[in-house]
Amino acid sequence: MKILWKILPPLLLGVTVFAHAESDASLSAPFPIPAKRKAREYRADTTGLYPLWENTGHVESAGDVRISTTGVQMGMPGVHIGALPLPFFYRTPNAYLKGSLFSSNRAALALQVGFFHLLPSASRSAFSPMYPTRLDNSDFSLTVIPMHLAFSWTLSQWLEWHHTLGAVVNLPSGNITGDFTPGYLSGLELNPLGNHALVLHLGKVGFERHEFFLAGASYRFRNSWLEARFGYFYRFRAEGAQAGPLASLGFLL
Amino acid sequence: MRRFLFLLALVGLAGCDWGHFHLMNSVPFHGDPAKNPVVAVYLGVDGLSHNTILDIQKRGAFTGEGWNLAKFHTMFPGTSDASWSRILHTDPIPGYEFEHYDPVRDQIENSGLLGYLCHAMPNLGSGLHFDPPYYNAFDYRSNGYTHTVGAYADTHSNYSESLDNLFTVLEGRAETQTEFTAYMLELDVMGHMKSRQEIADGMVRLWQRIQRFKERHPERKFVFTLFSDHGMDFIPVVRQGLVRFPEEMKKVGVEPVESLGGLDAKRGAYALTINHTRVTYLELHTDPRLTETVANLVSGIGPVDVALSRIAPPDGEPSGNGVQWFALWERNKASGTFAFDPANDRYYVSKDFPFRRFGITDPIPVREWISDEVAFQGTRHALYPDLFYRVRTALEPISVKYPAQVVVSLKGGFASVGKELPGGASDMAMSAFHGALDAPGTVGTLLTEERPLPDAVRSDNVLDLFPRLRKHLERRGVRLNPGDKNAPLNY
Repeated sequence: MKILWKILPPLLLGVTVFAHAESDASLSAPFPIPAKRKAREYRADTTGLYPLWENTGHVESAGDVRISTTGVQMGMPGVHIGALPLPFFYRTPNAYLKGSLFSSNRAALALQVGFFHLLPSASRSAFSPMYPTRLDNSDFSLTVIPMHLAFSWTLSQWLEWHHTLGAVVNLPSGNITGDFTPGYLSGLELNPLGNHALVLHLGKVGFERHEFFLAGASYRFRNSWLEARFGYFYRFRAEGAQAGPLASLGFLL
Repeated sequence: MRRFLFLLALVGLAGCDWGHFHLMNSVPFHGDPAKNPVVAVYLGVDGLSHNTILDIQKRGAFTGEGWNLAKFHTMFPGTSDASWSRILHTDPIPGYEFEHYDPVRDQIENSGLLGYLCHAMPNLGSGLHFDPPYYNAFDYRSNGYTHTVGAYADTHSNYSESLDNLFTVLEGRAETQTEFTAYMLELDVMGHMKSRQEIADGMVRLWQRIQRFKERHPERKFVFTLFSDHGMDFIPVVRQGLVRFPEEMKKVGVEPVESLGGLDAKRGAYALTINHTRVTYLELHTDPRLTETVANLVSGIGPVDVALSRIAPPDGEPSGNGVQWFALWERNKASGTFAFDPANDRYYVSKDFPFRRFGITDPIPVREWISDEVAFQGTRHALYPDLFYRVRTALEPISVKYPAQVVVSLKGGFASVGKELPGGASDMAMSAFHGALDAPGTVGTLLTEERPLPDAVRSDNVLDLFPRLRKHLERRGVRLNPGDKNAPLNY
């Protein structure tokens, strides 16, 4: 079973990329996109909704700016830089750089590397104590380095499949040992080119040493300048399930 | 518009915390077990009675090698917020309940349905909550904004969600912490609204989860301690047993009032009472000159088991040097009186004290000073356990800033009606109660793998018995109060 989890996510990602390449080669032209849904009018999702583990293969175009709770980002040729804004209010400065490895009308592959620096007591800095956290870093800081290889494949006008093969590296701190934890998250986006979309999220974090399975669903509204998302996510660990809503709001400049 | 913006801000805060919750719980991390090979886990289980543990021990749960059980004598009146504050030595709350009488402002605070509904309001952040300070003592205390509402609306599924969250958080915290504290609400709700059997089943589930958790985590030794804030009487009350105390007071000549200012104590007895939740006690505030009169009169109300108050030193009995006198009133007379000498931590029981009436079978000397130690040992298994200490401290500002002058304990089968919710919700929470002076609603549980225990423990002493718990609360930044200086016992 563990072997399966070691090979399945990269296999899935590889097969998808290969399948896309084959299908792209066999098509003389991409499927028609209705005029009012021009790519420029509705910019592609360049962030995942679920933090730390979810991403997409899209990168901001040069000069595009996205101010969203899932990422404040500035596009430059082939890359964008960004940061999650809300964690700054929770004693967690962070930043990331995302570069496009490949992009076509129907697919995009990108690599993102970033960091989160959890200052002492970041885990306790929520406004409300109603939601419990596994981590309590009241007397030590922790640096977390997430890396994502993300691929987004638009299979049809009504379906886009996002894959994120990720890993999180913890630098040793306090009682915490250094760790490397891989994970894979898949997002099936229904009606990706339209205003309204439904996204189904499924993933697993920790292959050899299981951390959690993730399952969730979210709704996304988008127009030429606004992006809003709302979803509900479950994490299934050996000790039980934790669940909660997630919301985001963004402006596309 | 302002209201809309306020609501929008609250939703915004909630949205931010959801993101934080998911982010913090998605960071994979591990600690070195060699740095904390033993983790002490303290579970505060609301309303877990000693009898429930005896029931489930017959089913094999919480028994066997390593587990030690003691009766846990909790404060009178047995009400959660005041009792947890007393047990954990956190900052006092204003009154025994959220709704309380403030003598400085001479008014009842947090009254009405709105005050009652504040119980269900989630803590949205600093300045946006009604939480008592003791909640800060717990690493885990809730599974989300709707935790309290969920606990009452769908107790069983909420309990499952809480168990999942509790053990998930424990598994994470154990990577770095040597102690862990958690609060569990749902078993108390099951007691009030469901049945004794359902509490027992819920506790067996907790036991199974503890066993499973230990098996899954052999890398560390987990040492569990459970303690509760009060007992549970498991005496159902029918609608006719719900007491509307102000109406009963009128019948015996005590005028119910809403404030005490400007009233003339010479023109008749009056008292202010708090009718907040469905419990088996009532508090009465009155003019100090009327204390004995009011206690005497209300003790004649049918459903009243016993009323207690301070009294003036009787003629010929010890007085002076700070000695305080107390009376237990029944059927319009002081049936038992005793004195307390705070300077020497000793009690003096009057000659005609009805020991048998209060289920005290161990011999206790009368008309001579006895130590608190002797008083505790002599009453620890009585029907009214740790009677002298619990009566005395009910009237003192230990975990409540504004204690009452008279506290009334009701007979089994009766309960204060509390706030009545619209829509026919009056028949809710009628299965079991707490608050009264006698054992069923008083005797909670102290159950531990950490150390041997005597057969009975005064709840005020838990931090003395478990110094790791005290240290953990200090590390969490909880301000600890000394409590009653005469509470410690030599176990």
